[in-house]
Amino acid sequence: MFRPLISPFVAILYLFTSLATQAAPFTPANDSDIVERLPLSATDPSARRLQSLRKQLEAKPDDVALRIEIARRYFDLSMAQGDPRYVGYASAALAPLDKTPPASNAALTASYWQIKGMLQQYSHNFDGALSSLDKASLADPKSPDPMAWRSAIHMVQANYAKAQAECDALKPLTTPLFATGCSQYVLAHSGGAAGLQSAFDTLNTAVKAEPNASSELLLWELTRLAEMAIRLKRLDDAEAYFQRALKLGVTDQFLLGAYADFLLLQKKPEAVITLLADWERSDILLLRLALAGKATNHKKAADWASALRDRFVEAYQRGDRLHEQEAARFELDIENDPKKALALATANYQHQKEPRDAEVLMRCALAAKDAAAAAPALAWLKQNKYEDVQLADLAAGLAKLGGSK
Amino acid sequence: MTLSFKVKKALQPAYLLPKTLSFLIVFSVFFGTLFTSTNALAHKPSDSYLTMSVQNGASDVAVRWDIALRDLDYVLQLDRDNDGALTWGEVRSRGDDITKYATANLALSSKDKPCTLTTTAPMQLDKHSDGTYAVLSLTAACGAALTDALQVKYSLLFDVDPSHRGLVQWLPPSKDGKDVEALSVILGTESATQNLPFQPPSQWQSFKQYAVEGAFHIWIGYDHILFLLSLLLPAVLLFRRNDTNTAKKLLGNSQILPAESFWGALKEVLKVVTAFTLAHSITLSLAALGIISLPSRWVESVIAASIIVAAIKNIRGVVDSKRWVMAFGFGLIHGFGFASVLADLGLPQNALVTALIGFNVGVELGQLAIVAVFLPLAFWLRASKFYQVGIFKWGSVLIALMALYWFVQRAFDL
Repeated sequence: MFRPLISPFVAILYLFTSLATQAAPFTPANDSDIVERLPLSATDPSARRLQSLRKQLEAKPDDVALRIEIARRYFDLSMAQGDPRYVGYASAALAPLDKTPPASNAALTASYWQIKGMLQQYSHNFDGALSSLDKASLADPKSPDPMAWRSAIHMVQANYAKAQAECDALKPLTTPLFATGCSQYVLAHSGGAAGLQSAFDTLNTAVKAEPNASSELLLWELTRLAEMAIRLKRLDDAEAYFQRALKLGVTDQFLLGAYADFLLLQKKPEAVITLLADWERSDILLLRLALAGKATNHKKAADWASALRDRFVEAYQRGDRLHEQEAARFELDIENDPKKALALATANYQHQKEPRDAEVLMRCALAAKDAAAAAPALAWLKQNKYEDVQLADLAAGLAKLGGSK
Repeated sequence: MTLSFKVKKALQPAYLLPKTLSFLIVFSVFFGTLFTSTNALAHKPSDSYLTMSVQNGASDVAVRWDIALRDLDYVLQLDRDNDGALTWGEVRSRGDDITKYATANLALSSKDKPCTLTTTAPMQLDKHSDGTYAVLSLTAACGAALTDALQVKYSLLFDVDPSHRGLVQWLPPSKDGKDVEALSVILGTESATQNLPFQPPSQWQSFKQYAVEGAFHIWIGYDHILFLLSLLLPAVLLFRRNDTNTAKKLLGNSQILPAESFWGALKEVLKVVTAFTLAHSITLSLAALGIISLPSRWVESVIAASIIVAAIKNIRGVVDSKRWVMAFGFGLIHGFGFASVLADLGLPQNALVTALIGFNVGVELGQLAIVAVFLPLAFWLRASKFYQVGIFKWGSVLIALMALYWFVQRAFDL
């Protein structure tokens, strides 16, 4: 009989016309032509280990411990390589357990919920992640892992009291530098000007006290110190912290992004281009390259911008909403489309409320001459007395905009 | 032995703190990276790209399917010599396996009849932002000319990577030689089966389609017909109230006489039908647009009650000349009944108002069809005892009993 013409359940998006044109396929001339390089060669020890674990799992699909280990290894690999496909592989390894999560063995139960929570936070399912991490703590109350992850999620959501409570809980279970980093990071966000100064001093002392801490931990602490130094207007100190972190020999996208932003702020776009020369594959660093390219009229500026445009379109096409902050900055600073940028920044701020997210929302609102749109970020700024010159300037600009209306 | 030891160790809570804290770094970035290779390709989640098109009147679907070699290697181990590089020879020699694996995970069907997928050209390659993809050229033979939605069911790689998506670019047949707009459909684990819609119908087509639905509904919706009939039965009659006691004794409280002129009867009918239509159009529109909503059990019960009231008035012969007022009042409730039907059908978002008007017009036309049959027949029979007693009185009793049955059923949810 009659059929509804367009089902509301069909996810249909009208395509960007640029996507409608497809490149022509080709046939290589010789069988010996190399057509693709795989990301992990078989000689890579971690790849070989995973390959063998997958083989074992094929033989013993009911081995819960093996499943969890494979998931954890793939998740670690995704973090190390920045490759989202490994997150998918981790989810697939865990998937058969989702129907009947392990419950009899406390260690396995804790591990399952820990990795489950990590995967959920990756896809921005923060409520689900918090609930999974709670279950991990229930199974293993002495593990600092779920506490640290919950603290991080609360920080992203700007729930500082909850983040601090997790830091307090993990303090007896971990090293002083780790615990200090956790709590001072919260204090720098929620303690006003005095809190920022105190967090900076305390963390600085703690870092000095543990010079032999691992590179990964030091990198994180130094990056935080650099950010706090910028807010305290101690730009030389910030530069020194960044340099120290870069010399640790751990390549880290977040550090590079933060340092590139610092350089852009100081109007040193040439340095950004040198720093990120080989980083076009990363969306978030490609954004910094495109910004620096635009500022210097670099010959590759247009290429970077168009590559980035394609990647945002691709992400949008598959329904990904993980890089909205970057997408907003792209629309605002490269495409000069404040309205579109504001829509993205507003959507982003629904679930991500870190200072950088607030800054982008305020900048977009200012550019779009829509002071009201920045209200949630302004409320956050006021409530926490978050000390930051850039944000204060933006807030003043927005107040002027709102007042003149 | 060694394995179980290692597994156990790996599963112990990680007190290795630096590693634990590194999440914080990753956290702000979400795609945190630690590249060692010099590969300049973008890092992105796994997608395959499908282009599907149907020519006007054709029975087969042309499919171009791009699948990442990297993904195919993950499930089919294309890298035979394990050197981390795929040669064209390694890929080409597994062409049949690739096609077999891919087509086992894609099902097209039209009106529940499966289409048969076959290869139309040798496998080729193409570059995408994250690497090289195998390009499969396929055709899906569906037997009969494709006119309605095509259903696609997708399961590629879902077992090894639930974040994988099939991104479909769908080109429905062009109806009048005009360019069609490509639609993009995302096939994910939660949306693995979807309809590929054909060109949305024009406003006029929507109007026609919904008008037919409206008329159809009046015909199968017995309760609306019976209510209308209860109000129309007296239209060909005149009621004279007997004022004097003598007249009352001789002839009862009121007396039934045949209507004098056809035009007078028609005027009565038109008043009733117009009031009913006007009323239900108002509430139907308000409900369909989501402005008002009433609980359906309540609405359906009141509709049944409205028929009882109208029929009893006929039985008792206390028919007043302002039947259109009752038609209007209860018409408001009947509108909510139509709305629930419309809600089941679904309104096209691109032609919401058109469809709504179409449905109303259809209901109206359905009613007029009933009137066109009823009125001449009733007018012809109006003076007979058969009509005045058999149809008017006993018919109304029958209607009232029927409606009572509905009322009990609906009000008490039996």
